[in-house]
Amino acid sequence: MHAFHIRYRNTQGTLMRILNAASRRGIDMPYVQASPLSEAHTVTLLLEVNAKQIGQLSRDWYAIVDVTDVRSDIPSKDLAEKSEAWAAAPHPPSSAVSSGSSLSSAATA
Amino acid sequence: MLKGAEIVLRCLRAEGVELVFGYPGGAIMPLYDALVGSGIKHILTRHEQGAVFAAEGQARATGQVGVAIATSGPGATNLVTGIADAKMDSVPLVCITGQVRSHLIGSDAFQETDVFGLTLSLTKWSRLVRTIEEIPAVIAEGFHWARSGRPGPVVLDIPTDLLKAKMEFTGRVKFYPPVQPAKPASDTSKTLISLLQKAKRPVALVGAGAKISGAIADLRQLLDALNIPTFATVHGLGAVPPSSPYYLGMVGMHGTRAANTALHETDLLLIFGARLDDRVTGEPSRFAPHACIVHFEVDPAQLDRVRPCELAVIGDMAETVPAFHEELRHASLPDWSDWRGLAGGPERAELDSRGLAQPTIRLLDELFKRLPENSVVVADVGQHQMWAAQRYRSSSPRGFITSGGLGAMGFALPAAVGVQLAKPGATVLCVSGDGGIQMNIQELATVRRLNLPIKMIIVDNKYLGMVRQWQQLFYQRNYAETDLSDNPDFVEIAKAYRINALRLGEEAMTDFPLSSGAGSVLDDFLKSSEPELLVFDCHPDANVYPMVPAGAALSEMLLEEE
Repeated sequence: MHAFHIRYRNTQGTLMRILNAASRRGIDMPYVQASPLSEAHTVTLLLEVNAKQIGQLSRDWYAIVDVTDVRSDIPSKDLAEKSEAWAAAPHPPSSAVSSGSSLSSAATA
Repeated sequence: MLKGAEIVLRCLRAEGVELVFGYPGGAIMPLYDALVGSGIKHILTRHEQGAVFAAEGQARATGQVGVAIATSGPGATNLVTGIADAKMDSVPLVCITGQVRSHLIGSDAFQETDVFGLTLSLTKWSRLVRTIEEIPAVIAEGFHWARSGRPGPVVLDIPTDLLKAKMEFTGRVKFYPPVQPAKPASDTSKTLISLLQKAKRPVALVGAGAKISGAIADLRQLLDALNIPTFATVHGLGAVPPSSPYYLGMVGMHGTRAANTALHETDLLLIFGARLDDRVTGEPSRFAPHACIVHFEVDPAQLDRVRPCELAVIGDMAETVPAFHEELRHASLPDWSDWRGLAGGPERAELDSRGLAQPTIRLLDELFKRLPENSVVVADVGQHQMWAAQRYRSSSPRGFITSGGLGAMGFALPAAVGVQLAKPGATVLCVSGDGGIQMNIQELATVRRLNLPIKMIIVDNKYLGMVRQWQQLFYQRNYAETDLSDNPDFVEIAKAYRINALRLGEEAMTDFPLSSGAGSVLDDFLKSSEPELLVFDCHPDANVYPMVPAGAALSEMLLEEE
């Protein structure tokens, strides 16, 4: 498992382009955290990738117009534990049932 | 006060746009309403895919940004294949789509699609415009990214209410990119010279990057100085004059025997602006197995996709190539004449006499030798495309246009419309198959309306020929769903569009030299000032050789029918 830390300007679609670079290769994303960091944003991804994919992903990310920095390292123990909590969740989400009435009223408001 | 639509058109004019291709519809109507008097010529195609391919044709022929316009929903989704095509082949393209009114976005309104989301992975940059005030800046930035670095497609999705809204417009907004492209490291030239001095069998591979960067003249000078066996990808055709003594032709799945063999044997591969598609490399794990790779490339994302390169020369080739050549002037290089003689020797001739006598190849040879130097050949996708690429002999860098990376059938006819409009004085030869032509045959109406003197060839083998060839060679002759023997009469179809058309049989191409009658037909066809269609009956069993089977190394090409 590798951790990738990608800094980007939080413009339309940039985070989606970053994530798409992984999803188009069929790579699972057990851990994704995006957060503001001073003037830029950072997304941290934990991915199970081989050496060739690390290079390809890094170059793909750099090619995205608003990506400003890409780094990779071995994930910390804390991150690795968080990623293991990733498991199949039910669908539709339980929240959709429990708060259905409030969602409906919000939609019609 | 100007409407958003008027601001869009003024910004397009400020970007140098004079010609756009499109198809109107509900959400984009305000833009069409403002077109009259805008100074921008709009070409109405008969399908949005025709519009985007035509815009690509214009862009590929000139290097300028092509512009396609469509409405929301199905109009936008019909652009998607062209957007993907532009991404694969590094074509500068801006697509402007109408979107449903702002307050309806997300409600699954009539003709609403999330074109922004739909094209995220296909575009270099895109925006869903949220306010009328954003329009000038978004257009400026969109054009910047479309044409800069490795060019590519941009989508600007504009809700219809913003096109109708008004604001004060003081003029064009300029975009200044926040990130400057990286400069090449200063010691790469010395390292490369050192690699050259050690090399026994160096070769050069030229891709589209050379022509996109405008580095053709510099690259030709460098290649003349290197004088090493050189070959081109399908998009690199024309970058190197075929008359150059070191030029071995096209490389790859249907490349020449000489080029593929040299690429397999080389110990130093210089790549100039090619991204190493698998159609170029053959089986990646066995690509250039002995080679040290040096890659001149503007887009770092293209490096190491197939194999790690030993040396990357990152930057615009208009800068990196002359910089390297300058360093090279002070260096002495080994004598590679033995290697050059071996690589280009007669025992590695590209086709034997039987192959050259294949009637479709003869037809293309006869047409190509009659074309003026400023001509543009636009090829569709399939067997005819590869025959045309193999036989193309022009040294015009933007003279051979095709959908290479995506391989989108139906590309050629609408792209030829864009090429002919961009180059009204040029002879434009559009080569299609009977499958591909039917994917955008409606654009014959565009050709007729504009009276574009495009010379259209349909190589009619009554099959999806390339798929049939694979079925024959690799699927035990199981010809599943490739039979097109019930094709319509293309001559009659052309006549229905009021376009001159004639049919030639293979027997017209069997005489050596060509009979005067057949020669006159081709002369008249090319010299006509009208659009002309020539349907050429090709034998269904004709195959494209050489061929590297999928999963094989370049050295394992099939040279002829076994």
